[in-house]
Amino acid sequence: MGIAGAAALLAAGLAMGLGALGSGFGLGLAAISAIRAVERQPAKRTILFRNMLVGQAVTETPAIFALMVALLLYFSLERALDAPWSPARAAAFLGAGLCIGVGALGSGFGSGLIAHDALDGMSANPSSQGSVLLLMLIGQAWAQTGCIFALVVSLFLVSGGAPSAPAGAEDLRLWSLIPLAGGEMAGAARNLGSSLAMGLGAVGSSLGIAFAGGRACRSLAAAPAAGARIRAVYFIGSATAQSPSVFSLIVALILLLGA
Amino acid sequence: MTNRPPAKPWKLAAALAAGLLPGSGQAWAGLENPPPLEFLGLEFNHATVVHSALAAAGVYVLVRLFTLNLSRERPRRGQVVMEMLVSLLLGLVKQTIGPNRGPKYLPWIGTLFLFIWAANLLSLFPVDNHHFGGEFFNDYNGNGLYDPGEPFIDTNGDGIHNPGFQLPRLEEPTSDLSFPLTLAVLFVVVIGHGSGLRFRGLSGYLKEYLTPGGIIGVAMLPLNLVGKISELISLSFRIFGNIFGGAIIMSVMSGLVLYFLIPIGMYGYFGVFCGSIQAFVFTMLAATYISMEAAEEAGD
Repeated sequence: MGIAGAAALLAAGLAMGLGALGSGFGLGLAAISAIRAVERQPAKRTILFRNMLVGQAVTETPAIFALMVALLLYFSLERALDAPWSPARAAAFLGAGLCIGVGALGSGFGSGLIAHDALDGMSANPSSQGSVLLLMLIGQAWAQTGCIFALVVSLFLVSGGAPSAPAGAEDLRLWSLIPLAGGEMAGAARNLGSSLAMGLGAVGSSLGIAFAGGRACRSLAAAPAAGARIRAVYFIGSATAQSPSVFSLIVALILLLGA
Repeated sequence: MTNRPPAKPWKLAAALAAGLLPGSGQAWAGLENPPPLEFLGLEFNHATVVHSALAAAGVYVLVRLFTLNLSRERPRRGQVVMEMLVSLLLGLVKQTIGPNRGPKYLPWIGTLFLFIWAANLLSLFPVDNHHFGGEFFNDYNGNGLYDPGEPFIDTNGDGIHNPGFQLPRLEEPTSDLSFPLTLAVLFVVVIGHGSGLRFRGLSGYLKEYLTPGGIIGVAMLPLNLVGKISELISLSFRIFGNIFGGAIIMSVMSGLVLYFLIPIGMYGYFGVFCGSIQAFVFTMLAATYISMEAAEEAGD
C-alpha cells in the first residue's frame, strides 16, 4: 500500500472526524431554539418543526461534503498504488482530508447558528416566518461558500494535486509566471500548503458571515418593515466578509496550479 | 385569471441546450463513466445529456397534465398544486427582485426550479444501466448480485483498474458538475449581468466593479472580478457536492445491504428531502444574484 495509501486512509478518517464536528454542534444549536420556539408558540409547532428540519438539512451540508471526500479518498486507494511511495501523492491525499475537514468546521457551526437565530426570530414574531426562512437559507448558503471552496481544493487534491515535475526540471507552461519547482518534496509542500491555506481560510469567513446572518434574521423578525434595508446591508456585509476566503482560494490555486 | 404553466417550448429548448453543454464533472473526482462522446471538439457525457433531457421532458409532460382543463370554480388537484407552486415562486421573486420587476423573472426562475427539482428526483427511478453503456453496480457477470471480484476494467485508458461508478438507478444530471455550472452561468452571467446592463446601462454596470470608488476602487477591481467568479463556483459546487455526495452514500449503502429497507430511508432523505431543498436553495440564490444586478432602486 505504501505511504500514499496510508495517507489516503488516514485522511479519510480526518476528513469525516473533523467535518462532523461543526455540523453536529450546529444541528444541536438549531434544535435548542426549535425547542424554545415550540415552548413559546405551541400553536405554531408544526411550521416551526418544519423550519427546523429545513435549517438542519442545510446545516448538514458541510458534513455531507466531508463524507463525500472521505469516501472518495477510500475509493482512490487503487490510484495510490501507481505511486505508493510518493510523498507528493501522500501529501495530496492527506491535504484533501485536512482541507475539507477543517473547512467544514466553521461552515457547519455557522449554518447551525443562523438556523438558531432564525428560529428564535420566528418564535418571537411568527408572522414573519416566510421572509425569515428565505433570509436564513441565503445566509446559510453564504456561510457555506468557504466550505465549498475547500471542497473544490479537496477534489483537486484527491485527483492528484499539483503536477509533480522531476527534480531540477522547469515547467514552462503558458499560464505559469513562476516555473514549478521540481521534485517530490516541493510537490508535497505545495499540496499540503494549499490544503492548509484553504481549510483554515474558510473557517473565519464562514463564522463571520454566520454571525452577521444570525443577527440579520433576528432583526428581520423584529422589524419586518425594514426588510429590504436589512437584506441589502447583510448582503454587502457578507460579500465583504467573504473576501478573506477568496484570498485563500487564490493562494491555494496558485500553489496547486503553479501560476 | 388563470395561471399558465411557466414552461414554454422555447424555454424548454433553452433548458435542454443548457443540459447539452460540454464538460465532465466526474473527472474532477477521478470517477469516470463510459468515455464521453466527442462532437465538434466538445465532450458530451452520455448520462448527463440523456438524463437532463429526461428531466426536462418529465417537467413538460407533468406541467401540461396538471394544467389541463383549468377552471376557476372547481379547480382540479393538479391545478391547485401548480397554483401553490406558482404563488410560492411568485412570492420568492417579488421578495428578492422586487414587486415590479420580480414577476418578469418568474418564467425563468420557475422553470429553473422545476427543472432542477425534476433532475434531483430522477434518482428515484430504478433502471438497468446497460442502456447507457455501463454495468450494473459491480455486477459484472450479470447475476443481479454485487460481485466484489470484478474483472480488470479500464474505462479511461490509464492502465489502472477503474470500473467507474454505475448506479442501479437513473443518475441525477446534477451530480455532473457541467450541469449546475451551465445553469449557474446561464442565470448569473447571462440573465443576472444582462439585466444589470439593461437596467443600469454600461457605465452603471461597469462602475460596480470599482465598488468603493476612487483609487481604492481601482485597487479592488481584481478582487471584485474574483468575487463575481466565486459566485459561480459556490452556486454550482453547492448542488453538485450535495447531490453527488448523496449519490455516493446511497450507492455505497445499497451495495452494503443489498437493497433492503435501509436504502429506502436513504433515498427518502438524500433523494427526496435534500434534492428538493437543494433545488430550492439553488433557485433562491439564482434569484438573489439576479436581484443584486436588477434590484429596484430606492425605497423598500
